[in-house]
Amino acid sequence: MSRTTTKPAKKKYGKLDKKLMFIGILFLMPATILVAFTTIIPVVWNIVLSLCKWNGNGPMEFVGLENFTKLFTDTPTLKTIGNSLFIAGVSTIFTMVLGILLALMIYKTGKKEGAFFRFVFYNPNIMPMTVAGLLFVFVLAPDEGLLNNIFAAMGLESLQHAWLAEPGLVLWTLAIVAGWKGSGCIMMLIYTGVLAIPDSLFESAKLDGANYFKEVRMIILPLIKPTICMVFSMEVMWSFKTYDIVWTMTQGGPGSLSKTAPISMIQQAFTYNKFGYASAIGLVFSVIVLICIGVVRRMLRSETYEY
Amino acid sequence: MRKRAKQFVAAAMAGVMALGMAACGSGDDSKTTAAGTEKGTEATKDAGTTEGNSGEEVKLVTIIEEPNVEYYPVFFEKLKELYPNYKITSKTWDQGQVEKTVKTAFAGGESIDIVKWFPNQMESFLNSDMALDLTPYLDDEWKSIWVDNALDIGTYDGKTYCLPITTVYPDIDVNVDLMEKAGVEVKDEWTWEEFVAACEKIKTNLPDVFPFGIKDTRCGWFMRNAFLQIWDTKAEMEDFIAGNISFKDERVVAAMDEITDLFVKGYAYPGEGAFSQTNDQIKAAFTQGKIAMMFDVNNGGQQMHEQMAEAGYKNVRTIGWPTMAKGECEYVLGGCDGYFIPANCKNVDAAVNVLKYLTSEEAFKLQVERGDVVPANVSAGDNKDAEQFARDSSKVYPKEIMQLSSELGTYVDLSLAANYYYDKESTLNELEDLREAALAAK
Repeated sequence: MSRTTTKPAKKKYGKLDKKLMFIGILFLMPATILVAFTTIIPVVWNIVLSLCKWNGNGPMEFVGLENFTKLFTDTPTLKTIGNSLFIAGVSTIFTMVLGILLALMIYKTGKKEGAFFRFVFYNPNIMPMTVAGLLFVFVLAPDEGLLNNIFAAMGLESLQHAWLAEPGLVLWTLAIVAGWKGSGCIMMLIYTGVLAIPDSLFESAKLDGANYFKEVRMIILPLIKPTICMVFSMEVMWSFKTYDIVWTMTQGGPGSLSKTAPISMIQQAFTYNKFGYASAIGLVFSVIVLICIGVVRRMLRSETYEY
Repeated sequence: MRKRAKQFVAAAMAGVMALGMAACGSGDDSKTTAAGTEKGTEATKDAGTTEGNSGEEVKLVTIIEEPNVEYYPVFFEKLKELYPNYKITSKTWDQGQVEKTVKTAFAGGESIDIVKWFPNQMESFLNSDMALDLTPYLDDEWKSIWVDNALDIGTYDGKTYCLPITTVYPDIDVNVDLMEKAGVEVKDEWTWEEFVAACEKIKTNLPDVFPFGIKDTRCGWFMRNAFLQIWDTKAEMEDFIAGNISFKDERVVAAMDEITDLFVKGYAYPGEGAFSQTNDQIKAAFTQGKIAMMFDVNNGGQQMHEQMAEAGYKNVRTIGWPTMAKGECEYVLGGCDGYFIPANCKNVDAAVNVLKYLTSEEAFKLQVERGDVVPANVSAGDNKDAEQFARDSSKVYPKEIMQLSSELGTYVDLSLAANYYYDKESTLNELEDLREAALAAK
């Protein structure tokens, strides 16, 4: 039995098609160059570097997977990746919960007070990370800090802690500060999602006797679920950048208690001149982040409603 | 016709945009090339020779200026007078950032011309050929400013890379009024046992006062001093520094246990959280009378005395770090601050001229007036307090176990004290891994 295969007919492009294609390519060039220089080349360079030994100045030596095998047996470095994951996880959940709550709190306010609250709640987002970090260093100081002094004034001395120094607390504290800082943006995105819901739905719900909590549970949350999913995956991406806030507040300390993967990478590269190993840490960390984002997106695939 | 014109304009615009983008990505070739040491040095020597002498504007970048150190603005004013054609950009010196800044600049082909660093800790720059050999520029006249052998600390394999400017070692500023209230007699030098007894007495007699305060990055100094002092003989100490004695040796462990005890007993301000106090927090607590002793560096002593006087505490003394020495190893950690020129410096001659001023008699005298101990042939002048800030300078031992590798150095200096307090066994294992890795690399 013989099988005959037919080749698909080659598509012929007319003169006009070719011209349009040329113009299209021409218009795409600047963006392509930009993306190549800012993303593709650094990523490829990072992969190449992770397979080499390089001190930042001399010749590079190809070492294959040596940097990766070293990484998977290097407990302190793996611990820094774990710290990053912990901070990212907790801060994402905290940001999302706080952002959604704030949005649900302000969506019914009037024009003027709404603008005021939006400004107040969005403000942490405008603040540079280092400023927010330093601010909280003062607020959370064990002796002179505002928080401990408030507890003391309320007679709640048992709640006083060295927030940035106790092993069981430091990562939680960093995650919550990072979460607070990002909550304004989430609030605004969720708030715009709520605004897109037609008023008629709320009016009919009211006629059916729904109170505020029922409105939130039965109308708002289901209808803004696609927005929540989108915002959540964005927040997961943002929250893995655990460098600036940690560096400003603890510099990875006390000891190595709050050292995160980005701090470890920078230390390996710029203090120990091990650019190859730093790249390997970066690559493994990026893969973990990508997996996390993939899992989150898969978990949050949601139905859409037409209204 | 009109359509063609539109197409032409669109194509031209796209072309211009593409060129613009490409231009943004490129820069001066000489800047973006990661300069190899040799190539960089030769190129800069040429540039330095022509630019330094021609009267044309010469741009220099320095990372030497510390905030609140009064003599740096004076130095820069004087340099402006001496070399009006030098345009010097002074970046603030921050110990935690210097290495990163210099190496990032180096990798990006940017030049930083003069950097303040520690002459005995140059390995990190020398391993990657990032420091310029200053030996050819050091003529006899220039060298004569330093005391004998002072330059040795920044000399590696016969080449001088980093010029020492101040002798630094740790000491303690003591609030004598508080000590007297607690019934503690203040001595210039304390044994470890005397220090612990003093802490206990302060804690018992003055419950609102913490015996001592130490900033986060200085907690490791306890361990570093112990590693120099606990040995019976100098040979044993050298053996440990060479990495031949384990961190699990019972003498090492016992010393670290004793140090950790200070924190366990809550002698350190503010109790829980003692490993994460910033310099400002410690200084504020000291000037408010919340702590009786503040661990400091000798060249910061005079400023601290002045701040305490302003706060109403005029009876402040600077004493030596408590010693664990039982045998012949009566040493303290320390060394020098110094200046070096990165190997990719673009204006070497100009940078050398600036260095010559910064290490001149005039500059050293200004430092001495502010309480610095300088390794130079300069008299202390009228500074009556100079003696107490220089008392232990003869005990300084510039070699330490932390010089075995950058990783071990960073760990011992910045993480060891806190990590040992929180998790002794893991810390000992990490130390051993780092020691073995350093030995294997050699």
